[in-house]
Amino acid sequence: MKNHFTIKGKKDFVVDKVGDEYIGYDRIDLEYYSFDEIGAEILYCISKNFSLDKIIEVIQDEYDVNYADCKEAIINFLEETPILHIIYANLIKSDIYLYLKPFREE
Amino acid sequence: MRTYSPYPLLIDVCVTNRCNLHCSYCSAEAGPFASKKDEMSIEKLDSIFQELDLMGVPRVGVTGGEPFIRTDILDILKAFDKYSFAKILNTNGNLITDSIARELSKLHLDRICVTIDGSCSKIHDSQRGKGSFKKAIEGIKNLQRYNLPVSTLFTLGKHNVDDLINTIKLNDMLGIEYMSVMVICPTGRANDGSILTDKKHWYPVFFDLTKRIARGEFKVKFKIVPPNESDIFWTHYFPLAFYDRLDLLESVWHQKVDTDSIKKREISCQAGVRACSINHKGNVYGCDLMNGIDELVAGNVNETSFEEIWHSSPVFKKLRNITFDDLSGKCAECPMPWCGGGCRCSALELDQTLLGSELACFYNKEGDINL
Repeated sequence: MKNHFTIKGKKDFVVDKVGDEYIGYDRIDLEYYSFDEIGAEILYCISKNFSLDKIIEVIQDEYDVNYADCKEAIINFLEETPILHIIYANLIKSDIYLYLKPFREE
Repeated sequence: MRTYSPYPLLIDVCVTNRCNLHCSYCSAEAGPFASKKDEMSIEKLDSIFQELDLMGVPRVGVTGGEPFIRTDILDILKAFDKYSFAKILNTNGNLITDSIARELSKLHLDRICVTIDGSCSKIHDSQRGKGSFKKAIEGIKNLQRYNLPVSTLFTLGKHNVDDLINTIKLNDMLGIEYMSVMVICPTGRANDGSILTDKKHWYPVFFDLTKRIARGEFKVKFKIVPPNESDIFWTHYFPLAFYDRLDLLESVWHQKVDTDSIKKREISCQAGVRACSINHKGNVYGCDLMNGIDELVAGNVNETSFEEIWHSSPVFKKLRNITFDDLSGKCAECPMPWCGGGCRCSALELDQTLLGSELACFYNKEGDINL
């Protein structure tokens, strides 16, 4: 399932597993991006409109990481992902955007 | 009489007063229980669009109520699409599904304007209804998926004034190119003026906003549209005067106070001069804010051609004949040479006469303003 999924954002962002990495194609900027296992897991959860807590739960099921570190890692990943402009409306739907700059409380 | 344009430079055509939302400030008093009786047919709307096109009207907006509550809206828009004027569609965005967006992508709309009244559900939904924020965002996403020219409208009131800057940031994050901020006019359900923002909130927000624009913080192109249409907006002038930073009025907002001007002050309200509106029953008004005020019905397009109403309506003649000397109250006492007396509709609602004062304006004879 995670080997091939689509985020229905501003444009469809299709992610495929290719070898050890996950490749997605940005149809707005016409660029390829690659993601590691955890990045792909987060994006897969976003494709399902999971809340931040639900994504943390999914990650914690697989990795031995505490809640705070996991949350911070997800937020950092999303704030820095080059595809934020494609998936931003999805992050509003799940209220995740409220945890990201410029809306998160410092 | 003020010179009026041979055709309106902008006109709104309301296709329904029905709406899936029931916003507390709606000037049209639209809502789920508005009647569909007497709504104009596609054929009638098409004939109006044709007449406006032949007159040379450069810009027409289709509005409501919520246009997408009409099951025949796509056919109406197909008729709308045939003409050469710039085509604007106003919507709350809640009913725009992927398939509707796909259909819209086959047309040639110049702007699809979706109302976003806050940066989060809490603010936006407080006046527009639970769940409406996320549905509007979904509608925007669907429009963007088809590369449609989506813009947003922020209706400024006391409920969201402190969230304006965050909402601009949200527009940036969504990749919106144009955002309009429309200051709520005290008409329709807002006619008691209680939802209007006050200077205590507006001044610091506007000053902060102005400094951020000067620093180039935002990507979205936006404008603030108070319903007064003078060369200088009182919403802009008074806060900057208060902070003694009127220099920013020109450098940031491109509004110049011409102190050498000796020209006679003229009423700035453009209702029936350059602007016009047709409601869902075919009643013609000077602007959409007048929708529903019986004494301001200039005519009805089911009985008279629009062109005849535009040139001959006694209501329009009355609006065009108002002079600054006719005004009473604080507008008559106000010394600001750049002001044209604000919104006449606001004067009618809050001061009970078309010739009264724009009581929503921040001018105060004894007030806090360094003149």
